[in-house]
Amino acid sequence: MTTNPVSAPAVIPDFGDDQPTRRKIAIICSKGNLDMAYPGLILANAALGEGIETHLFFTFWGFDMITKSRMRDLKFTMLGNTATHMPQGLGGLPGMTAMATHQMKKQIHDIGVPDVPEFLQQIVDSGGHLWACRMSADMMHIDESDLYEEVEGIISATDFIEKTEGAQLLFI
Amino acid sequence: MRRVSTLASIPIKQLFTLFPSKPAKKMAYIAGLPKPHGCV
Repeated sequence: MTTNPVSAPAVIPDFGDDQPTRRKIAIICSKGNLDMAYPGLILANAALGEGIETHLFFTFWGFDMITKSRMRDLKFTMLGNTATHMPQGLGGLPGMTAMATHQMKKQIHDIGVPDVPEFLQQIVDSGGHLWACRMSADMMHIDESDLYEEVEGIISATDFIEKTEGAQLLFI
Repeated sequence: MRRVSTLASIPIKQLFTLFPSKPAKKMAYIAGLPKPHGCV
């Protein structure tokens, strides 16, 4: 007769996979500045990494993030931004926006964060949904052909409200 | 997760198939690493 040595049961952490997750997040991206594009992208990416259904809705200036001709060319300006702690007059000098943008892009790149188009692709690959705002598209005379291919559609505010039933909303 | 995807050139989609819903946490657990602390 042989006895098996008593082995401790393997400890497997609870990843919460068994619990039904009904959590859902919708992020409205309304800004077209380089610095304001990232909060939405980073949060969407984090939510997807936690297995949460995520929708990004781009409206007004946020269109710059998904317009093919502009998404690689978002800018950061010191103008009106007191958090740079530089004299406000400096931001208005020619070339300052280009310089500040260059500097910020470099800093973003240095910490290993992708640029906007690549980040959007990562979000889509992770299962995120991208939507564009109907009214902004009409105002700016933009249609689907001008937008990033992964944008699922141009939807109205009502469609958005329907889609985000029960979701947590963030307006950026 | 981004590092795994870019350095090992494994598409993000595949990582989500292999480690459903929480790829970063699950990969860290299997690799014996602490929970990832970076934002991206």
